[in-house]
Amino acid sequence: MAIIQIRDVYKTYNEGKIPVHAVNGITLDFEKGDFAAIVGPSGCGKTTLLNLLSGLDTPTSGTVMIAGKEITHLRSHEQIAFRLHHIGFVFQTYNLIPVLTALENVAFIMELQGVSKKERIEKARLLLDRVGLNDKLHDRPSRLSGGQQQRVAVARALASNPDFIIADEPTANLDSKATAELLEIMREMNRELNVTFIFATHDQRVVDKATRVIRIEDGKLTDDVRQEGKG
Amino acid sequence: MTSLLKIAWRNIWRNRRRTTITIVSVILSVFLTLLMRSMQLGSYENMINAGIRQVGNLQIQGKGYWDSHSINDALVYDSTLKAKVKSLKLIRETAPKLESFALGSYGEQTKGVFVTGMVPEQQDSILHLSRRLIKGEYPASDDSCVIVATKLAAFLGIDVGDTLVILGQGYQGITAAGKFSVRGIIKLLSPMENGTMIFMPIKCATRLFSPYEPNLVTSVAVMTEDISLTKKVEDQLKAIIKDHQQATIMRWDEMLEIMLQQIEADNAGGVIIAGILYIIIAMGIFGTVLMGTLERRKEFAILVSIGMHRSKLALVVILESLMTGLSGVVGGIIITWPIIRHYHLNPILMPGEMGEMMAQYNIEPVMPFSDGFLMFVNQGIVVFILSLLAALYPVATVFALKIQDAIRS
Repeated sequence: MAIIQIRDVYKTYNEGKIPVHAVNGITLDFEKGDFAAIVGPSGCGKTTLLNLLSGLDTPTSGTVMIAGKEITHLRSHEQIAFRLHHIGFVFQTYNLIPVLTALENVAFIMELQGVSKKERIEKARLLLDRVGLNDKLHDRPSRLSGGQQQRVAVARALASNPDFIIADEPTANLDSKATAELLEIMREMNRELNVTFIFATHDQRVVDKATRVIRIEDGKLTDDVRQEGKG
Repeated sequence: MTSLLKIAWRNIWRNRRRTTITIVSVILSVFLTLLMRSMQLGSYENMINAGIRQVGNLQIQGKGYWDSHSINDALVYDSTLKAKVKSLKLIRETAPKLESFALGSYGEQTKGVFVTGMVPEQQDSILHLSRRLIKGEYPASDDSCVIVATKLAAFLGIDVGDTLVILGQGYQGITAAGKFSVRGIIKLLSPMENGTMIFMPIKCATRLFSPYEPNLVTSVAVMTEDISLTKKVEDQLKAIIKDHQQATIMRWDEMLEIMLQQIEADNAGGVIIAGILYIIIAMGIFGTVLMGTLERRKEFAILVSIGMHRSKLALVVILESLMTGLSGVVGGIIITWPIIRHYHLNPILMPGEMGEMMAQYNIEPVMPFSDGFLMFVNQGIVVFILSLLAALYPVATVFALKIQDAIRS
């Protein structure tokens, strides 16, 4: 069953008098367990599509349903609560809370969900162990490398038990080794926990690892290919 | 909530130098405000205490006497009323007085004088009159004599052992005339009092002004155990005198109304200066919190993206503002408290003309510092409110934040 259903979604920005169709009538489903890469040239609408399906932006027309719930008409605070419980995020520039340690960063999202202190600390330790950072629990982001920070970000995204994780150019700032390690970790989580990952990327290494590649050009869906046996 | 407190506290130290400068500026402002207010409030307390020593916490008077100062508006303080007043446990002391204007004459000189009949021992314990004697002796209750203020004595050319003639009008129009031996010369602090005052035991004054009404008094000063008991004792006294058509009760703040108005006017100046210092505090906190907010727009946007409600984010900003402001207040109080406490216990002696001037007004020539608890609490409350106000704009920024723009920034 599709966990995300995007139906005939348009997003038009009015830049002066000329309307810009960032997303131009896309209909798309994501299944539970997808490890999907959205690719396309810069400005094709990848990030806008991610924003629409995460509720960070609202479509000009069309609907976005997540886990059977239409999110386009949710009010601001409802969208925030929805993201907290259903969506994980991994950003290009890590974006951890700089004043919290790795452990606190991962636990914080669970605190927002109201998880008990004991439970969230236990789970945060477990997740950081899973991403290979059990020796960096009490380090702040400034003491971690880019790759390590991004692994903390993955652990944070997983901490809220989301329906899917959105990763916008997660490897753009990483070297080859860190990229390979990060992709391996995410793929492992995808396989073991059946968590859906949706990437917007230019990185061929991510595309190579993805089980599904969605191509967008000028805001339109031009290709949607499943790469069986990949990853 | 713990995490929000932790985040806020750590956030304010992300730019250590900026936060340190802000907190130090708050500490300095609090230090200056507290010192200034402590000195002001201390000197007011000193003035009020001096005033209360003069007039008592309360006075029982004849109706209309306060306005007319005529002996005809005096009160018959009979033994029944006296016994009722004495039965009140919260009263430390009562001091009856019989006062009137008259002419004082010696040899060729005559001058208008103000005669105060009092219980010598009581007045001495309250106003320490005997310490101001420069010649002669202080009288006892049963003596028939007077003590004369120095300037008046010099004008009349009278000295200890001489006889002073007093002539005036007594109670209900009788002639008040008498001859009294001068027992002592006293130096009073106010120049006006020094040129007009004559003291005598109240029994003498009664014989002089009211020989047919021996219980006549113009006022009975009532000293309570503590100033805070004034209202309670006033109520008790009002209950006692409710059947006495002649009597009325006045509180010290009614009798010292002019002095309190002067204090109020002076205090307004202090409040304005404190206000300027508070503006410095507010601007310092505002600048720090605002910069901290604008620098972290992207971070805030990320937090909202991952599911942190804007209200919680706003709470973090408010906490940062409060922590900055209150750190300064706590620091300021810690530095200022020992200094204020020291000068509260060891007031600065006012030297020279300033001290003399204070003494002339019966005010102890010292500059005591007030260490009132409320003064410190008020600082905390004011800075708390200022910190909240300083956080208003940053909080508005959080609620107006455009997530996608901020993430892209």
